[in-house]
Amino acid sequence: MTEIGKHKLSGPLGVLAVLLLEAVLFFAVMAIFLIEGGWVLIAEIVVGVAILILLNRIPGIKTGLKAAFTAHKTIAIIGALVLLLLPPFLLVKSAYWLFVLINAVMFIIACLGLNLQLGSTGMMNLAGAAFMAFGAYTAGLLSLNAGWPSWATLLAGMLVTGLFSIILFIPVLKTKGHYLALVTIAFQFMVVILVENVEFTGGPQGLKNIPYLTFFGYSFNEAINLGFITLHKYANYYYFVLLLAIVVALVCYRIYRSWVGVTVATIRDDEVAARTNGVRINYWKLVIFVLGNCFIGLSGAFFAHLIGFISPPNFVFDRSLVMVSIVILGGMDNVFGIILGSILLITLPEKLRFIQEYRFLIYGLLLIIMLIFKPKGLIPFVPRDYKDLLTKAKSKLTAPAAKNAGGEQNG
Amino acid sequence: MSGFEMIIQQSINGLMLGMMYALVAVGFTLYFGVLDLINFGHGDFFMLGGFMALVMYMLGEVLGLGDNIFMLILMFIGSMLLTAVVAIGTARLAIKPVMKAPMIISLLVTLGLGIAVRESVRLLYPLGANPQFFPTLLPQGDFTIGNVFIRYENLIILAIGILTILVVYYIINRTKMGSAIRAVAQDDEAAKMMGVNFNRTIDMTFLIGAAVAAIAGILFGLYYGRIQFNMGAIMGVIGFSASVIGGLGNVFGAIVGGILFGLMETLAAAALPIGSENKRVFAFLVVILFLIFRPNGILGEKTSERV
Repeated sequence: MTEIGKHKLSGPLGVLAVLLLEAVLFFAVMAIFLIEGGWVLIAEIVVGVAILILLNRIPGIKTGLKAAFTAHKTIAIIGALVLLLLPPFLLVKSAYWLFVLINAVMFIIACLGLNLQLGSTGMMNLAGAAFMAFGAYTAGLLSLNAGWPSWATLLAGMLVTGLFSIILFIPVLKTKGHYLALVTIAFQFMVVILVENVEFTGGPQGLKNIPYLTFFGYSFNEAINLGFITLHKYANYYYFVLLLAIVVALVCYRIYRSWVGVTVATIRDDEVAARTNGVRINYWKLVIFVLGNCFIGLSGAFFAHLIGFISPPNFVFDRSLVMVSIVILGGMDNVFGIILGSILLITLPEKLRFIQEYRFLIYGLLLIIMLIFKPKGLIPFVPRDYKDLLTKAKSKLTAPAAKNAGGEQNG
Repeated sequence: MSGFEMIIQQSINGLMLGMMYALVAVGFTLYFGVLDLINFGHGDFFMLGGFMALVMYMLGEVLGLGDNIFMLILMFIGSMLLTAVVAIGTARLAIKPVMKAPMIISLLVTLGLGIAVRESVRLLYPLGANPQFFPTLLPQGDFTIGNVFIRYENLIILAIGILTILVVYYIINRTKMGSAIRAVAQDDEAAKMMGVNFNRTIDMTFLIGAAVAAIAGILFGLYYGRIQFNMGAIMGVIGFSASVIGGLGNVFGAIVGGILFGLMETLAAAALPIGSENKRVFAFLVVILFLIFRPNGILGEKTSERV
């Protein structure tokens, strides 16, 4: 059955299937934003989750679609990019939901960073919000006090967060399991208390009037007028954060597909075995920890410019908890899982405002239920396929040999 | 007031705080010993204990009890029982299914449990989002030794704390239930084979842990005069830190760790030029240093993993 599916879907029918699937996925996600009624929305999500679970159960469909995607890679990428340009047009009437969508994409960046640590390498980090605070305050302070341009503040927010994560690295390296969780929680609380009580961060009042993003004279504070339609100024932020997210996702996906991904996975699965096989555990843990926190810091810096006002309540422990929940519920070590998890967990609490009071209670209960019944997340981790990595490695091994042979002939 | 007297005065305050931390830490250490998991929702059992005592206070007023010793006894016993019932219920529903799951899952489930308990209190208790005033039931007044003020309240709270610790010590070390708990903590498979009722032992662990946390919650209310629905989160982190400083799995260590943490906070606030808001930063810093240099705590057993 699998074979037939593969055969059919790699022809022109496959193009249709690929584009159709992309469109369905896209509009299913957009429907979350567009549907007004709360119960309709819940129904949609229940159906969506059921379909996801079904897809995981029937291997034929999945491999068939996978084959179609690999056969029509260019078309799939172009189709996805075109679809991703649409949200500001679809949400032209509701700037607020565009803002929520921007937030969700921002969390994708942060959670991809966290996923590198937690999902790929198995390093617990419950201080995500604290690292976000480093990025946000760096960007805020540099643009307010030193008047740095936007590209510099974003870059600085990212790098300073990376530097600060080195401070925490020795405790992170020395501890494991519950103790590592405690170290990061303690760090999270320390950072929030310090930010509240130190003067240059503005204390509990926070930083106000952080300038909006401006790139080489192009201000993000103006609406985009396309003649037939005027997009809200948030459209600028959407396209920019989308670009950042795509870059970060590509970096993460490349890491996952490379030997680095395999190396850190061995650290996650069995540290002792990894060390006996010559994996430089401390080195890779440092690289991944700093890189992950850089992404978290980048999203923090973007956040500061997006809302223009940051204060300690934006970076409390609950935020770290949301980030970890996204990684676990979306699916560990899985870029697509993180994307889905961010959109659901950031958007739903906003959509569930009609049950205002009970929001957090339901959030807590859902978290428990999901973890008990689907501990591997919505898109579970798939065992890695080493085939192409191995062929690449083999060709690398044979290439120098061929060169040597050529050298001998010349000599 | 001389420097030495100030240290004594601050130590008394630290001891009050430390006693509450210690009682919360006992729960962490018990759960870790028996179930091998950290219950991050435990801080919210502490908070629940305080609120259940307020519910009992209302009940006492309906029954016509005045602000006297009987009211206090009703509050303690009622709150301990109700909190324990909630704890056992949640443990059966949510914690036991994830007992063997990876640590990250149990961690998130217990954090989610904490959120659920906290939000339930906020929603169900009348005006639960506001701080609630706790009745003054302990005799007021004070006496001085030299220049050191000691309030009667302090002595009573200390006495209740010590009594609780002694009772816990007795239960763990001298009763059949206690030996079952210790047996499961050492080796649950072997304990089951020897006829220990595993499920009942878990229930009992949560009963003891939650009841002791409830006592801490009531003491907190009596000492500070008010409680709030969200005070459990930070208490959970402190209780966990205290049990780690003392050595996870060791009940006596948890008590030492709790008192150390309390003393550290108050003495740091008094002695170091960092401002009283930053006392917790100092305390957490010490915790992190502790984890680097003595990850097994003061009284913890030594384990190692080598290649």
